[in-house]
Amino acid sequence: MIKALRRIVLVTLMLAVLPVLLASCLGYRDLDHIAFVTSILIDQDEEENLVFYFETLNSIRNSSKEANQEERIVYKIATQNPGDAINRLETHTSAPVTLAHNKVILFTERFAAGGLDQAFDIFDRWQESSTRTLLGVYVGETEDFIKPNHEEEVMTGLYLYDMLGNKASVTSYGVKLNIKEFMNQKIIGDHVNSMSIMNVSKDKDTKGQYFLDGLALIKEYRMVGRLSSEKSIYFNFLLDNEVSGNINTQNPEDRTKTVSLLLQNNRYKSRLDYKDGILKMEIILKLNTDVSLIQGKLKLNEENIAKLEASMAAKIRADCLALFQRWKDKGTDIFDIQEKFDRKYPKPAGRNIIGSTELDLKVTVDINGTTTLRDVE
Amino acid sequence: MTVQASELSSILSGCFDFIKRDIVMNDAVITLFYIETICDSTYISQYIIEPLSQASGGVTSREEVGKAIYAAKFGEVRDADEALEHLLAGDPVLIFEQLQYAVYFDARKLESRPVEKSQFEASLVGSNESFNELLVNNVSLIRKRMATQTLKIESHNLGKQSKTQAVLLYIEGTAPEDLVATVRQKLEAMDNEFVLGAQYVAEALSPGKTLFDTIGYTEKPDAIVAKLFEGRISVIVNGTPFALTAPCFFFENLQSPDDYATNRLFVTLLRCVRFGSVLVSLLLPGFYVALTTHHFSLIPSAFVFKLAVSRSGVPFPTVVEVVLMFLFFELSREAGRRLPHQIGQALSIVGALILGDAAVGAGLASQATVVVTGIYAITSFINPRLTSAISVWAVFSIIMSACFGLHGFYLGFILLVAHLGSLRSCDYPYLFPLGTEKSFRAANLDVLVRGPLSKVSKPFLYRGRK
Repeated sequence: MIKALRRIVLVTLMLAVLPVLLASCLGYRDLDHIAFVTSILIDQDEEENLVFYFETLNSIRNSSKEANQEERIVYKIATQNPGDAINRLETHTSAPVTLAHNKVILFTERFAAGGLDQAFDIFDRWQESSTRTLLGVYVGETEDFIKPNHEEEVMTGLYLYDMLGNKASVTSYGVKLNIKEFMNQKIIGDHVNSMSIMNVSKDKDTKGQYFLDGLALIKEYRMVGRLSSEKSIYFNFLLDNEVSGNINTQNPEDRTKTVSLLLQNNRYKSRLDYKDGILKMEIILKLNTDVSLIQGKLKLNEENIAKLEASMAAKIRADCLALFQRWKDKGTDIFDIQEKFDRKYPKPAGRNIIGSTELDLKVTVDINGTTTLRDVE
Repeated sequence: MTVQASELSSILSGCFDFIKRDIVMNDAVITLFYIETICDSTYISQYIIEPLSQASGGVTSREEVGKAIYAAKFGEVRDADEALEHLLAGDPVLIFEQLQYAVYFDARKLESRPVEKSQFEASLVGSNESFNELLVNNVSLIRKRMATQTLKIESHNLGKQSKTQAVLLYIEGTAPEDLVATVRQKLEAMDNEFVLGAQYVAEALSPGKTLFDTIGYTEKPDAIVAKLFEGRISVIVNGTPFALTAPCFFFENLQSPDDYATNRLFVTLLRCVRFGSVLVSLLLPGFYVALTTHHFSLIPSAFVFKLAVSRSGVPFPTVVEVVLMFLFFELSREAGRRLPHQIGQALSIVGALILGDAAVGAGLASQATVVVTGIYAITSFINPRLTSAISVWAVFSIIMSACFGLHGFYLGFILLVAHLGSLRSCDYPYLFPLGTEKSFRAANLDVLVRGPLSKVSKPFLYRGRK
């Protein structure tokens, strides 16, 4: 009897501990009674108010089962205090809000120039916020965020997440950066993060369509510069970011035409040598490519292929060196040189090592094959 | 003579099938008693009455009785109780008043089904013979598969009133002696008024409060023979087409008769599938509830949005919705069990419609819940021996998950494992060889992996007995 009673008391205690200690922070909630925030755009108005655009997904009740569908609602909250933004958002929605499935946070150029730290902490510390949320800078009109030109894709958040996440690896025009990586990079080495820029087409026919438009460079929390799409590829070469896609060079038989080479796989080696206050940074870049497109005519013999390889290597080298020199002159290290230096030489750690860095870049291009040969008789 | 004809007549009078026949021989009266419905009247006429009638000198001594009747098996009856016991078991009794001598002889004719194809454990390529309700038939099916001189078959009469015949089978020298002694002692200690089936014995052997079967059962004689050779014991009760085996371990629920008649590598894969299906049917509904109601941040975004949309308009909370669908399914399954086979098929179609399309259309459930219930149903059908345990533990898991999220889900699972770990089958650990042995080799490589039959067919040593 006493044994049975003891067992009952033990089980009851064990069950009672759970709601008290563990489950109190996450209560029972049904999915259809939740407003999911899927993307956030943060802007700053002329009165220095922070303007949040919350894109949410709500499920609509309907009497017929076929009509069950999601509804996209964008809420606009302007506030001085970012902590109020989510509280005020809940006063606008019919269900409790969650940031657990927020896919993307975009910052307008104006807001980024003023400093992301004006509002970033709520995503860093918010209990339900996911560190996998991708970050980007938005340079389009805010109206286009509210009413995008993507009829097929109801949720802009998911669409942008795919653009920033998946496409960044195949176009070389963007980089994938989430909250966790941003927070890490912000305190390592040069403190510079590169963030994809999202632009919106203003063309009459394609108005409202999103596209990647280079990289924004964020030092600590502040946007310090911008790289165009063309420069982004060289930036990615120098940082050993995954680079793929096409890269163009002159047609050896017709100077007015171009030949496109498809990047297949790249080998990157870097070596640092610090002597007498000078940091020598050697980068060896080997690119394997295929001929993917020939404008005009070109005989793909060994001589022309060698010319193509040489001209492509020279072009990449020249552009990379020019990009490096430009930011070296500005005194801003966007190439993670400080981080590499601090790792290799922890003792003589000095700030702003880029000013005394000499880049020795060796580029080799190999053309392995061509997709056009398949149809050659 | 201690057996009085008048005493037997007075006790059994009033039974329409009780027959008393006086045979007069040279002024001596021989009285024949038998129960018409369980005896072969033609046999009695031809081989008992006729030779007795034609005996010219009559039967003048006890030695001549054996010569006068043509029965293959007969024996002396010493008192009225013994005579009644034989009569009620189907053996006619002859009383020779002059000799003050009574004998019984074997003339039983018990109706039974023929040996039919196994329904519960059908095999595609193996033997399909199954037991029927007659004990002697069942024992003969076993005997024909094992010409083993060490096979022991002990008879026990169970039930104070019913005196149901049951046999305890084991192979001497292979089955652990303490196991045989324990089972024998439990059989002898049974004090039921009547015993109508094997479950009476199963409860006596393993009275634990659990939904899992800690005493095995099978209707296939080849399975019993294999288990006897492995060193287990079996109990067969007259009137039940199933034989009990002990000890019975959890992993036996994942084994099927075909496992020993098909390719062993494929069998191993199938066993993994069965084990996976046990886990899925036990855990999936609870996991679904925990994720969708407490931890939806762990679900991929594209899927969670679809789940949210599919749930919109459902008036109940997710947990009620899932329990409701479970209830529909269990109702459908129970109705299918009770109905005749032909109507059962129609019912399953109606059930599928209600559970599938109609419930979603009526707004009672979301499509995701229907899918989860459907997967639960399919996986629970894969292991029919665990159906009852799975259905109750799955609901327990759902309730724990709904109350405490994933914490409750894990706690429910831990409680289940603890419960399984605490179970014993005839004092052997139910999870054998898990937790008791370092390697599955201890169980003849026949747990999840089905080893070569040359190894599987050897007896193995059960350890871990209390």
